[in-house]
Amino acid sequence: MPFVKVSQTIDVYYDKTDFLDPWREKPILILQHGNGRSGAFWYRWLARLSKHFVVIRPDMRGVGQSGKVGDVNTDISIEHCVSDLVAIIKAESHRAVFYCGESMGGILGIVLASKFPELIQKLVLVATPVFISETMKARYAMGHGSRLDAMKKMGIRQWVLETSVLTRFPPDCEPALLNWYVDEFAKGQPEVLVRYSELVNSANASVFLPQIASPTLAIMPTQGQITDAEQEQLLSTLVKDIQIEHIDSPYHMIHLTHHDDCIDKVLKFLLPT
Amino acid sequence: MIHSLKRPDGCELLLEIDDFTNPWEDAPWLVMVHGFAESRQAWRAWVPHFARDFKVLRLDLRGFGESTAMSETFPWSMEVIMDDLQDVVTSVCKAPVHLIGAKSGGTFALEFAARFPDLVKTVVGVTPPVIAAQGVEGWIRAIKKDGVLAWARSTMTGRLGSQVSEQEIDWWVNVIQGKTSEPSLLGYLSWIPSLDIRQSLPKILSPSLVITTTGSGLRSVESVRAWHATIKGSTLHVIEGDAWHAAGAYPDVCAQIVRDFLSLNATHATNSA
Repeated sequence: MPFVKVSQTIDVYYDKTDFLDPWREKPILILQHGNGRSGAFWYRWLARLSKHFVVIRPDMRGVGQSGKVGDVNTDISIEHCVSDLVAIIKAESHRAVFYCGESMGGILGIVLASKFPELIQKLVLVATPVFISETMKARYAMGHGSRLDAMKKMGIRQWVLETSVLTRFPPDCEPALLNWYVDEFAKGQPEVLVRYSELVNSANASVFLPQIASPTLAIMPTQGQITDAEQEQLLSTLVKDIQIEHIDSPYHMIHLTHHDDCIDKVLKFLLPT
Repeated sequence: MIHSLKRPDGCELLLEIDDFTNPWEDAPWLVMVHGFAESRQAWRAWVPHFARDFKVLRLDLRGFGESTAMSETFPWSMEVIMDDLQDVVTSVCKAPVHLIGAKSGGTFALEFAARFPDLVKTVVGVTPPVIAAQGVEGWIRAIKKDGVLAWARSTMTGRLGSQVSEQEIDWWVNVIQGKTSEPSLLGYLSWIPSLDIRQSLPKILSPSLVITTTGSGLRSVESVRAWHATIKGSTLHVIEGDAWHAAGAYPDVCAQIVRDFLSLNATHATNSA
Protein backbone atom coordinates (compact mmCIF):
# COMPACT_ATOMS: atom_id res chain seq x y z
CA MET A 1 0.00 0.00 0.00
CA PRO A 2 1.26 3.49 -0.81
CA PHE A 3 3.19 5.97 1.23
CA VAL A 4 4.35 9.44 0.27
CA LYS A 5 7.57 10.77 1.72
CA VAL A 6 6.70 14.27 2.87
CA SER A 7 9.99 15.10 4.61
CA GLN A 8 13.35 13.48 5.30
CA THR A 9 11.86 11.59 8.23
CA ILE A 10 8.08 11.48 7.74
CA ASP A 11 6.09 9.10 5.54
CA VAL A 12 2.35 9.52 5.17
CA TYR A 13 0.25 6.44 4.43
CA TYR A 14 -2.89 6.27 2.34
CA ASP A 15 -5.11 3.37 1.46
CA LYS A 16 -6.26 3.10 -2.14
CA THR A 17 -9.41 1.15 -3.04
CA ASP A 18 -9.81 0.66 -6.77
CA PHE A 19 -12.34 -1.73 -8.28
CA LEU A 20 -13.25 0.43 -11.27
CA ASP A 21 -13.01 -0.80 -14.85
CA PRO A 22 -9.39 -0.19 -15.86
CA TRP A 23 -10.41 0.72 -19.41
CA ARG A 24 -12.56 3.67 -18.32
CA GLU A 25 -11.67 7.02 -16.77
CA LYS A 26 -11.42 6.67 -13.00
CA PRO A 27 -12.51 9.63 -10.85
CA ILE A 28 -10.71 9.89 -7.51
CA LEU A 29 -12.39 10.61 -4.19
CA ILE A 30 -10.31 11.46 -1.13
CA LEU A 31 -11.87 10.54 2.22
CA GLN A 32 -10.10 12.42 5.00
CA HIS A 33 -10.66 11.43 8.60
CA GLY A 34 -10.93 13.88 11.46
CA ASN A 35 -9.02 14.59 14.66
CA GLY A 36 -7.35 11.52 16.18
CA ARG A 37 -9.00 9.01 13.88
CA SER A 38 -7.56 7.27 10.81
CA GLY A 39 -8.65 6.10 7.37
CA ALA A 40 -9.91 2.88 8.96
CA PHE A 41 -12.92 4.78 10.35
CA TRP A 42 -14.33 5.12 6.80
CA TYR A 43 -14.81 1.37 6.35
CA ARG A 44 -18.61 1.66 6.11
CA TRP A 45 -18.30 3.95 3.08
CA LEU A 46 -16.03 1.86 0.89
CA ALA A 47 -18.38 -0.69 -0.67
CA ARG A 48 -20.82 1.84 -2.06
CA LEU A 49 -18.33 4.53 -3.03
CA SER A 50 -15.83 2.20 -4.68
CA LYS A 51 -18.44 1.35 -7.32
CA HIS A 52 -18.02 4.90 -8.60
CA PHE A 53 -14.62 6.20 -7.47
CA VAL A 54 -11.09 5.21 -6.73
CA VAL A 55 -11.26 5.88 -2.99
CA ILE A 56 -8.14 7.20 -1.28
CA ARG A 57 -8.04 7.33 2.52
CA PRO A 58 -5.01 9.16 3.93
CA ASP A 59 -3.91 8.64 7.52
CA MET A 60 -2.84 12.05 8.83
CA ARG A 61 0.85 12.22 9.72
CA GLY A 62 1.60 10.45 12.99
CA VAL A 63 -1.65 8.42 13.15
CA GLY A 64 -2.90 5.12 11.72
CA GLN A 65 -0.32 3.53 9.48
CA SER A 66 1.54 6.76 8.76
CA GLY A 67 5.07 6.95 10.09
CA LYS A 68 5.88 8.47 13.45
CA VAL A 69 6.71 12.14 13.69
CA GLY A 70 9.57 13.69 15.67
CA ASP A 71 8.60 16.75 17.70
CA VAL A 72 4.82 16.90 17.56
CA ASN A 73 4.79 20.68 18.02
CA THR A 74 6.96 21.37 14.98
CA ASP A 75 5.97 18.37 12.83
CA ILE A 76 2.20 18.58 13.14
CA SER A 77 0.30 21.63 11.92
CA ILE A 78 -2.67 22.39 9.69
CA GLU A 79 -0.22 23.58 7.00
CA HIS A 80 1.66 20.27 7.20
CA CYS A 81 -1.55 18.24 6.90
CA VAL A 82 -2.66 20.27 3.88
CA SER A 83 0.71 19.94 2.15
CA ASP A 84 0.56 16.16 2.81
CA LEU A 85 -2.78 16.05 1.01
CA VAL A 86 -1.33 18.01 -1.90
CA ALA A 87 1.51 15.47 -2.13
CA ILE A 88 -0.94 12.56 -2.16
CA ILE A 89 -3.19 14.16 -4.78
CA LYS A 90 -0.21 14.94 -7.02
CA ALA A 91 1.11 11.39 -6.61
CA GLU A 92 -2.20 9.87 -7.66
CA SER A 93 -3.79 12.26 -10.12
CA HIS A 94 -2.91 14.72 -12.84
CA ARG A 95 -6.23 16.51 -12.49
CA ALA A 96 -8.65 17.76 -9.84
CA VAL A 97 -10.16 15.24 -7.43
CA PHE A 98 -13.27 14.97 -5.30
CA TYR A 99 -12.65 15.54 -1.60
CA CYS A 100 -14.76 14.55 1.39
CA GLY A 101 -13.59 15.27 4.91
CA GLU A 102 -15.28 14.65 8.24
CA SER A 103 -14.91 17.07 11.15
CA MET A 104 -11.25 18.23 11.16
CA GLY A 105 -10.84 16.44 7.80
CA GLY A 106 -13.35 18.97 6.48
CA ILE A 107 -11.33 21.88 7.94
CA LEU A 108 -8.34 20.58 5.99
CA GLY A 109 -10.59 20.40 2.91
CA ILE A 110 -11.62 24.04 3.35
CA VAL A 111 -7.99 25.17 3.53
CA LEU A 112 -6.97 22.88 0.66
CA ALA A 113 -9.79 24.02 -1.63
CA SER A 114 -9.10 27.68 -0.92
CA LYS A 115 -5.32 27.49 -1.40
CA PHE A 116 -5.24 24.93 -4.22
CA PRO A 117 -8.47 25.40 -6.17
CA GLU A 118 -6.99 23.62 -9.17
CA LEU A 119 -6.78 20.37 -7.17
CA ILE A 120 -10.36 20.14 -5.90
CA GLN A 121 -13.27 19.47 -8.25
CA LYS A 122 -15.97 19.25 -5.60
CA LEU A 123 -15.78 19.53 -1.82
CA VAL A 124 -17.85 17.66 0.78
CA LEU A 125 -17.78 18.61 4.45
CA VAL A 126 -19.28 16.09 6.87
CA ALA A 127 -19.99 17.37 10.41
CA THR A 128 -17.29 19.97 9.89
CA PRO A 129 -16.94 22.88 12.31
CA VAL A 130 -15.47 26.17 11.12
CA PHE A 131 -14.10 26.63 14.63
CA ILE A 132 -14.63 25.06 18.05
CA SER A 133 -16.99 27.12 20.18
CA GLU A 134 -16.21 28.09 23.77
CA THR A 135 -19.15 25.93 24.90
CA MET A 136 -17.64 22.86 23.25
CA LYS A 137 -14.18 23.63 24.61
CA ALA A 138 -15.67 23.68 28.11
CA ARG A 139 -17.63 20.46 27.50
CA TYR A 140 -14.57 18.60 26.21
CA ALA A 141 -12.59 19.78 29.28
CA MET A 142 -14.75 17.34 31.29
CA GLY A 143 -14.36 19.35 34.50
CA HIS A 144 -10.62 19.86 34.05
CA GLY A 145 -8.85 23.08 33.13
CA SER A 146 -8.99 22.40 29.40
CA ARG A 147 -9.52 19.64 26.83
CA LEU A 148 -5.77 19.03 26.78
CA ASP A 149 -5.62 18.82 30.59
CA ALA A 150 -8.53 16.39 30.52
CA MET A 151 -6.85 14.16 27.90
CA LYS A 152 -3.64 14.10 29.90
CA LYS A 153 -5.21 13.56 33.33
CA MET A 154 -8.00 11.15 32.38
CA GLY A 155 -5.91 9.21 29.88
CA ILE A 156 -6.81 9.07 26.20
CA ARG A 157 -9.05 6.02 26.41
CA GLN A 158 -11.22 7.31 29.27
CA TRP A 159 -11.41 10.79 27.78
CA VAL A 160 -12.49 9.55 24.37
CA LEU A 161 -15.01 7.14 25.92
CA GLU A 162 -16.66 9.81 28.07
CA THR A 163 -16.69 12.49 25.36
CA SER A 164 -17.96 9.98 22.80
CA VAL A 165 -20.96 9.13 24.97
CA LEU A 166 -21.53 12.85 25.50
CA THR A 167 -21.19 14.18 21.96
CA ARG A 168 -20.29 11.61 19.30
CA PHE A 169 -22.68 8.66 19.58
CA PRO A 170 -26.35 8.49 20.51
CA PRO A 171 -27.44 6.45 23.54
CA ASP A 172 -29.02 3.81 21.27
CA CYS A 173 -25.82 3.35 19.24
CA GLU A 174 -24.55 -0.22 18.81
CA PRO A 175 -22.35 -0.79 21.91
CA ALA A 176 -19.83 -2.71 19.77
CA LEU A 177 -19.40 0.31 17.48
CA LEU A 178 -18.71 2.60 20.44
CA ASN A 179 -16.22 0.11 21.94
CA TRP A 180 -14.46 -0.34 18.62
CA TYR A 181 -14.30 3.43 18.11
CA VAL A 182 -12.74 3.99 21.53
CA ASP A 183 -10.23 1.14 21.12
CA GLU A 184 -9.24 2.26 17.64
CA PHE A 185 -8.91 5.92 18.66
CA ALA A 186 -6.84 5.02 21.73
CA LYS A 187 -4.27 3.25 19.53
CA GLY A 188 -2.81 6.65 18.66
CA GLN A 189 0.26 7.99 20.44
CA PRO A 190 -1.04 10.20 23.29
CA GLU A 191 1.22 13.16 22.47
CA VAL A 192 0.09 13.06 18.82
CA LEU A 193 -3.58 12.92 19.79
CA VAL A 194 -3.13 15.80 22.24
CA ARG A 195 -1.36 17.83 19.54
CA TYR A 196 -4.17 17.28 17.03
CA SER A 197 -6.71 18.27 19.67
CA GLU A 198 -4.71 21.42 20.31
CA LEU A 199 -4.77 22.21 16.59
CA VAL A 200 -8.47 21.66 16.16
CA ASN A 201 -9.24 23.62 19.32
CA SER A 202 -7.43 26.68 18.01
CA ALA A 203 -8.40 26.34 14.32
CA ASN A 204 -10.64 28.88 12.65
CA ALA A 205 -11.31 28.29 8.97
CA SER A 206 -13.54 31.37 8.47
CA VAL A 207 -10.89 33.30 6.59
CA PHE A 208 -10.58 30.54 3.98
CA LEU A 209 -14.29 30.15 3.21
CA PRO A 210 -14.63 32.99 0.65
CA GLN A 211 -11.75 31.54 -1.41
CA ILE A 212 -13.46 28.18 -2.00
CA ALA A 213 -14.24 28.04 -5.72
CA SER A 214 -15.44 24.45 -6.02
CA PRO A 215 -19.07 23.45 -5.53
CA THR A 216 -19.44 22.44 -1.88
CA LEU A 217 -21.82 20.21 0.05
CA ALA A 218 -22.00 20.33 3.84
CA ILE A 219 -23.73 17.44 5.61
CA MET A 220 -24.47 18.44 9.18
CA PRO A 221 -26.20 16.85 12.13
CA THR A 222 -29.33 18.67 13.24
CA GLN A 223 -28.77 20.30 16.62
CA GLY A 224 -25.07 19.53 16.20
CA GLN A 225 -23.13 20.17 19.38
CA ILE A 226 -19.89 20.88 17.52
CA THR A 227 -21.40 22.14 14.28
CA ASP A 228 -24.07 24.53 15.51
CA ALA A 229 -26.33 27.02 13.72
CA GLU A 230 -23.72 29.77 13.91
CA GLN A 231 -21.26 27.58 12.04
CA GLU A 232 -23.80 26.75 9.35
CA GLN A 233 -24.57 30.43 8.98
CA LEU A 234 -20.90 31.16 8.39
CA LEU A 235 -20.68 28.44 5.74
CA SER A 236 -23.79 29.51 3.88
CA THR A 237 -22.81 33.18 4.00
CA LEU A 238 -19.15 32.90 3.07
CA VAL A 239 -18.91 29.92 0.67
CA LYS A 240 -19.94 30.96 -2.84
CA ASP A 241 -21.49 27.71 -4.05
CA ILE A 242 -22.67 25.62 -1.11
CA GLN A 243 -25.62 23.45 -0.26
CA ILE A 244 -26.25 22.30 3.29
CA GLU A 245 -27.98 19.01 4.01
CA HIS A 246 -28.94 17.61 7.41
CA ILE A 247 -28.86 14.28 9.17
CA ASP A 248 -31.36 13.96 11.99
CA SER A 249 -29.02 13.52 14.93
CA PRO A 250 -27.54 15.75 17.62
CA TYR A 251 -24.41 13.58 17.69
CA HIS A 252 -21.19 14.24 15.83
CA MET A 253 -20.16 10.89 14.29
CA ILE A 254 -22.82 10.86 11.57
CA HIS A 255 -20.41 9.34 9.08
CA LEU A 256 -20.43 6.19 11.24
CA THR A 257 -23.95 6.22 12.67
CA HIS A 258 -25.76 7.43 9.52
CA HIS A 259 -23.33 6.31 6.85
CA ASP A 260 -25.93 5.26 4.27
CA ASP A 261 -27.84 8.55 4.54
CA CYS A 262 -24.57 10.46 4.21
CA ILE A 263 -23.47 8.37 1.23
CA ASP A 264 -26.83 8.93 -0.50
CA LYS A 265 -26.25 12.68 -0.26
CA VAL A 266 -22.60 12.44 -1.33
CA LEU A 267 -23.41 10.34 -4.41
CA LYS A 268 -26.25 12.65 -5.41
CA PHE A 269 -23.87 15.60 -5.18
CA LEU A 270 -20.83 14.05 -6.85
CA LEU A 271 -22.26 11.89 -9.61
CA PRO A 272 -23.29 13.46 -12.91
CA THR A 273 -27.05 13.63 -13.34
CA MET B 1 -4.85 -7.20 1.71
CA ILE B 2 -2.55 -9.59 -0.15
CA HIS B 3 -1.60 -12.98 1.28
CA SER B 4 0.50 -15.82 0.01
CA LEU B 5 -0.27 -19.46 0.82
CA LYS B 6 2.58 -21.90 0.28
CA ARG B 7 1.52 -25.39 -0.81
CA PRO B 8 3.49 -28.53 0.03
CA ASP B 9 4.92 -28.74 -3.51
CA GLY B 10 6.33 -25.21 -3.21
CA CYS B 11 3.61 -23.50 -5.26
CA GLU B 12 2.64 -20.13 -3.77
CA LEU B 13 -1.00 -19.16 -4.13
CA LEU B 14 -1.69 -15.44 -4.19
CA LEU B 15 -4.79 -14.43 -2.23
CA GLU B 16 -6.41 -11.01 -1.93
CA ILE B 17 -8.89 -10.24 0.83
CA ASP B 18 -11.25 -7.25 0.83
CA ASP B 19 -13.14 -6.82 4.06
CA PHE B 20 -15.34 -3.79 4.83
CA THR B 21 -17.45 -5.61 7.41
CA ASN B 22 -17.84 -4.43 11.00
CA PRO B 23 -14.44 -5.16 12.57
CA TRP B 24 -15.93 -6.70 15.72
CA GLU B 25 -18.11 -9.18 13.84
CA ASP B 26 -17.06 -12.57 12.53
CA ALA B 27 -18.45 -12.02 9.04
CA PRO B 28 -18.83 -14.97 6.65
CA TRP B 29 -16.34 -15.61 3.86
CA LEU B 30 -17.08 -15.38 0.16
CA VAL B 31 -14.39 -17.11 -1.91
CA MET B 32 -14.14 -16.27 -5.62
CA VAL B 33 -12.49 -18.66 -8.10
CA HIS B 34 -11.58 -17.38 -11.56
CA GLY B 35 -11.65 -19.33 -14.80
CA PHE B 36 -9.10 -20.51 -17.32
CA ALA B 37 -6.28 -18.12 -18.25
CA GLU B 38 -7.47 -15.44 -15.84
CA SER B 39 -6.65 -14.17 -12.37
CA ARG B 40 -8.36 -12.66 -9.33
CA GLN B 41 -8.48 -9.39 -11.28
CA ALA B 42 -11.39 -10.84 -13.27
CA TRP B 43 -13.57 -10.30 -10.16
CA ARG B 44 -12.66 -6.68 -9.44
CA ALA B 45 -16.07 -5.22 -10.32
CA TRP B 46 -17.76 -7.81 -8.10
CA VAL B 47 -15.98 -6.90 -4.88
CA PRO B 48 -17.89 -3.70 -3.95
CA HIS B 49 -21.16 -5.64 -4.15
CA PHE B 50 -20.10 -8.00 -1.36
CA ALA B 51 -17.27 -6.64 0.81
CA ARG B 52 -19.56 -4.81 3.26
CA ASP B 53 -21.22 -8.10 4.20
CA PHE B 54 -18.58 -10.73 3.48
CA LYS B 55 -14.87 -11.14 3.81
CA VAL B 56 -14.19 -11.44 0.10
CA LEU B 57 -11.26 -13.68 -0.81
CA ARG B 58 -10.09 -13.83 -4.42
CA LEU B 59 -7.34 -16.25 -5.26
CA ASP B 60 -5.08 -16.73 -8.23
CA LEU B 61 -5.25 -20.44 -9.06
CA ARG B 62 -1.89 -22.14 -9.38
CA GLY B 63 -0.30 -21.40 -12.74
CA PHE B 64 -2.26 -18.15 -13.18
CA GLY B 65 -2.07 -14.51 -12.18
CA GLU B 66 0.58 -13.94 -9.53
CA SER B 67 0.55 -17.50 -8.20
CA THR B 68 3.46 -19.73 -9.16
CA ALA B 69 3.50 -20.63 -12.87
CA MET B 70 3.37 -24.36 -13.68
CA SER B 71 5.58 -26.12 -16.20
CA GLU B 72 4.09 -27.50 -19.42
CA THR B 73 4.53 -31.02 -18.04
CA PHE B 74 2.90 -30.33 -14.66
CA PRO B 75 0.46 -33.16 -13.90
CA TRP B 76 -2.76 -31.15 -13.63
CA SER B 77 -5.65 -32.95 -11.99
CA MET B 78 -8.90 -32.16 -10.22
CA GLU B 79 -7.28 -33.42 -7.00
CA VAL B 80 -4.50 -30.82 -7.19
CA ILE B 81 -6.99 -27.96 -7.56
CA MET B 82 -9.32 -29.35 -4.88
CA ASP B 83 -6.38 -29.66 -2.47
CA ASP B 84 -5.41 -26.03 -3.13
CA LEU B 85 -8.96 -24.83 -2.50
CA GLN B 86 -9.29 -27.00 0.61
CA ASP B 87 -6.09 -25.46 2.00
CA VAL B 88 -7.37 -21.94 1.32
CA VAL B 89 -10.68 -22.64 3.10
CA THR B 90 -9.24 -24.50 6.08
CA SER B 91 -5.99 -22.53 6.58
CA VAL B 92 -7.08 -19.00 5.75
CA CYS B 93 -10.85 -18.81 6.17
CA LYS B 94 -10.94 -21.40 8.97
CA ALA B 95 -14.71 -21.72 8.49
CA PRO B 96 -17.21 -22.96 5.89
CA VAL B 97 -17.47 -20.48 3.03
CA HIS B 98 -19.76 -19.19 0.37
CA LEU B 99 -18.05 -20.26 -2.83
CA ILE B 100 -18.41 -18.73 -6.27
CA GLY B 101 -16.64 -19.57 -9.49
CA ALA B 102 -16.80 -18.36 -13.07
CA LYS B 103 -16.27 -20.51 -16.18
CA SER B 104 -13.97 -23.39 -15.20
CA GLY B 105 -13.67 -21.70 -11.78
CA GLY B 106 -17.40 -22.47 -11.50
CA THR B 107 -16.68 -26.08 -12.41
CA PHE B 108 -14.16 -26.25 -9.58
CA ALA B 109 -16.59 -24.55 -7.17
CA LEU B 110 -19.34 -27.11 -7.94
CA GLU B 111 -16.91 -30.03 -7.65
CA PHE B 112 -15.58 -28.66 -4.36
CA ALA B 113 -19.13 -28.34 -2.98
CA ALA B 114 -19.80 -31.97 -3.94
CA ARG B 115 -16.60 -33.22 -2.30
CA PHE B 116 -16.56 -31.03 0.83
CA PRO B 117 -20.14 -30.34 1.92
CA ASP B 118 -18.93 -29.38 5.39
CA LEU B 119 -16.75 -26.59 3.99
CA VAL B 120 -19.33 -24.98 1.72
CA LYS B 121 -22.32 -22.95 2.90
CA THR B 122 -23.56 -22.05 -0.58
CA VAL B 123 -22.12 -22.45 -4.06
CA VAL B 124 -22.53 -20.39 -7.24
CA GLY B 125 -21.32 -21.30 -10.73
CA VAL B 126 -21.38 -18.56 -13.37
CA THR B 127 -21.39 -20.12 -16.86
CA PRO B 128 -19.56 -23.25 -15.66
CA PRO B 129 -18.78 -26.07 -18.09
CA VAL B 130 -19.50 -29.49 -16.58
CA ILE B 131 -17.68 -31.24 -19.41
CA ALA B 132 -14.81 -29.80 -21.41
CA ALA B 133 -15.71 -27.52 -24.30
CA GLN B 134 -14.89 -28.63 -27.82
CA GLY B 135 -11.96 -27.14 -29.68
CA VAL B 136 -9.25 -27.31 -27.05
CA GLU B 137 -6.81 -28.84 -29.55
CA GLY B 138 -7.32 -25.82 -31.79
CA TRP B 139 -6.48 -23.48 -28.89
CA ILE B 140 -3.26 -25.41 -28.18
CA ARG B 141 -2.25 -25.14 -31.86
CA ALA B 142 -3.09 -21.41 -31.90
CA ILE B 143 -1.09 -20.66 -28.73
CA LYS B 144 1.92 -22.64 -29.97
CA LYS B 145 1.79 -20.97 -33.38
CA ASP B 146 0.97 -17.34 -32.57
CA GLY B 147 1.47 -16.98 -28.79
CA VAL B 148 -0.84 -16.28 -25.86
CA LEU B 149 -1.66 -12.67 -26.77
CA ALA B 150 -2.88 -13.48 -30.29
CA TRP B 151 -4.89 -16.46 -29.02
CA ALA B 152 -6.46 -14.34 -26.28
CA ARG B 153 -7.45 -11.64 -28.75
CA SER B 154 -8.95 -14.13 -31.20
CA THR B 155 -11.27 -15.58 -28.53
CA MET B 156 -12.24 -12.41 -26.66
CA THR B 157 -15.36 -11.32 -28.54
CA GLY B 158 -17.07 -14.65 -27.93
CA ARG B 159 -15.96 -14.52 -24.33
CA LEU B 160 -17.22 -11.00 -23.59
CA GLY B 161 -20.04 -10.71 -26.15
CA SER B 162 -20.87 -8.44 -29.04
CA GLN B 163 -21.40 -5.31 -26.91
CA VAL B 164 -17.85 -5.24 -25.58
CA SER B 165 -15.72 -2.15 -26.31
CA GLU B 166 -12.26 -2.24 -27.90
CA GLN B 167 -10.78 -0.79 -24.70
CA GLU B 168 -12.31 -3.57 -22.62
CA ILE B 169 -11.00 -6.21 -25.01
CA ASP B 170 -7.54 -4.66 -24.81
CA TRP B 171 -7.55 -4.89 -21.01
CA TRP B 172 -8.67 -8.51 -20.91
CA VAL B 173 -6.18 -9.43 -23.63
CA ASN B 174 -3.14 -7.44 -22.47
CA VAL B 175 -3.55 -7.45 -18.70
CA ILE B 176 -5.47 -10.61 -17.88
CA GLN B 177 -5.21 -13.42 -20.42
CA GLY B 178 -2.18 -12.26 -22.36
CA LYS B 179 -0.05 -12.23 -19.21
CA THR B 180 -0.75 -15.89 -18.44
CA SER B 181 2.32 -18.11 -18.46
CA GLU B 182 2.36 -20.09 -21.71
CA PRO B 183 3.65 -23.33 -20.10
CA SER B 184 0.85 -23.11 -17.52
CA LEU B 185 -1.71 -22.64 -20.29
CA LEU B 186 -0.45 -25.47 -22.46
CA GLY B 187 -0.17 -27.92 -19.56
CA TYR B 188 -3.65 -27.02 -18.32
CA LEU B 189 -5.14 -27.31 -21.80
CA SER B 190 -3.68 -30.79 -22.26
CA TRP B 191 -5.51 -31.89 -19.08
CA ILE B 192 -8.81 -30.06 -19.57
CA PRO B 193 -10.35 -32.42 -22.23
CA SER B 194 -10.73 -35.05 -19.48
CA LEU B 195 -12.85 -32.68 -17.36
CA ASP B 196 -16.28 -34.12 -16.56
CA ILE B 197 -18.03 -33.37 -13.25
CA ARG B 198 -21.52 -34.62 -14.17
CA GLN B 199 -21.29 -37.50 -11.69
CA SER B 200 -20.52 -35.05 -8.89
CA LEU B 201 -23.52 -32.76 -9.39
CA PRO B 202 -26.10 -34.90 -7.51
CA LYS B 203 -23.76 -34.90 -4.50
CA ILE B 204 -24.05 -31.13 -4.02
CA LEU B 205 -26.07 -30.59 -0.85
CA SER B 206 -25.57 -26.89 -0.14
CA PRO B 207 -27.90 -24.26 -1.62
CA SER B 208 -26.67 -23.62 -5.15
CA LEU B 209 -27.13 -21.21 -8.01
CA VAL B 210 -26.08 -21.49 -11.64
CA ILE B 211 -26.06 -18.50 -13.99
CA THR B 212 -25.97 -18.91 -17.76
CA THR B 213 -26.61 -16.70 -20.78
CA THR B 214 -29.17 -16.94 -23.57
CA GLY B 215 -26.73 -16.52 -26.42
CA SER B 216 -23.53 -18.27 -25.38
CA GLY B 217 -21.59 -19.61 -28.31
CA LEU B 218 -20.36 -22.51 -26.19
CA ARG B 219 -23.53 -24.03 -24.79
CA SER B 220 -27.29 -23.75 -25.14
CA VAL B 221 -29.64 -22.95 -22.28
CA GLU B 222 -31.29 -26.36 -22.87
CA SER B 223 -27.99 -28.18 -22.39
CA VAL B 224 -27.41 -26.31 -19.14
CA ARG B 225 -30.95 -27.08 -17.94
CA ALA B 226 -30.32 -30.76 -18.56
CA TRP B 227 -27.36 -31.08 -16.21
CA HIS B 228 -28.59 -28.42 -13.79
CA ALA B 229 -31.69 -30.56 -13.11
CA THR B 230 -29.44 -33.15 -11.47
CA ILE B 231 -28.47 -30.73 -8.65
CA LYS B 232 -31.02 -31.02 -5.85
CA GLY B 233 -32.97 -27.85 -5.18
CA SER B 234 -30.66 -25.70 -7.26
CA THR B 235 -31.61 -22.37 -8.81
CA LEU B 236 -30.87 -21.61 -12.47
CA HIS B 237 -30.81 -17.99 -13.56
CA VAL B 238 -30.70 -17.27 -17.30
CA ILE B 239 -29.63 -13.77 -18.28
CA GLU B 240 -29.88 -12.12 -21.68
CA GLY B 241 -26.58 -11.82 -23.48
CA ASP B 242 -24.30 -13.38 -26.03
CA ALA B 243 -21.14 -13.54 -23.88
CA TRP B 244 -20.05 -16.94 -22.62
CA HIS B 245 -18.16 -15.27 -19.78
CA ALA B 246 -21.11 -13.61 -18.03
CA ALA B 247 -19.12 -12.89 -14.85
CA GLY B 248 -16.67 -10.79 -16.86
CA ALA B 249 -19.09 -9.24 -19.33
CA TYR B 250 -22.03 -8.50 -17.00
CA PRO B 251 -20.52 -8.23 -13.51
CA ASP B 252 -23.12 -5.91 -11.97
CA VAL B 253 -26.08 -7.93 -13.27
CA CYS B 254 -24.55 -11.19 -12.07
CA ALA B 255 -23.51 -9.75 -8.71
CA GLN B 256 -27.06 -8.56 -8.02
CA ILE B 257 -28.42 -12.03 -8.83
CA VAL B 258 -25.87 -13.54 -6.44
CA ARG B 259 -26.71 -10.99 -3.73
CA ASP B 260 -30.39 -11.91 -4.04
CA PHE B 261 -29.49 -15.61 -3.83
CA LEU B 262 -27.28 -15.07 -0.78
CA SER B 263 -29.86 -12.94 0.99
CA LEU B 264 -32.24 -15.91 0.76
CA ASN B 265 -29.66 -18.53 1.63
CA ALA B 266 -27.15 -16.84 3.90
CA THR B 267 -27.52 -14.92 7.11
CA HIS B 268 -25.67 -11.65 7.56
CA ALA B 269 -26.31 -10.35 4.05
CA THR B 270 -28.29 -7.34 5.15
CA ASN B 271 -25.99 -4.35 4.86
CA SER B 272 -26.51 -2.22 1.80
CA ALA B 273 -23.83 -2.31 -0.87
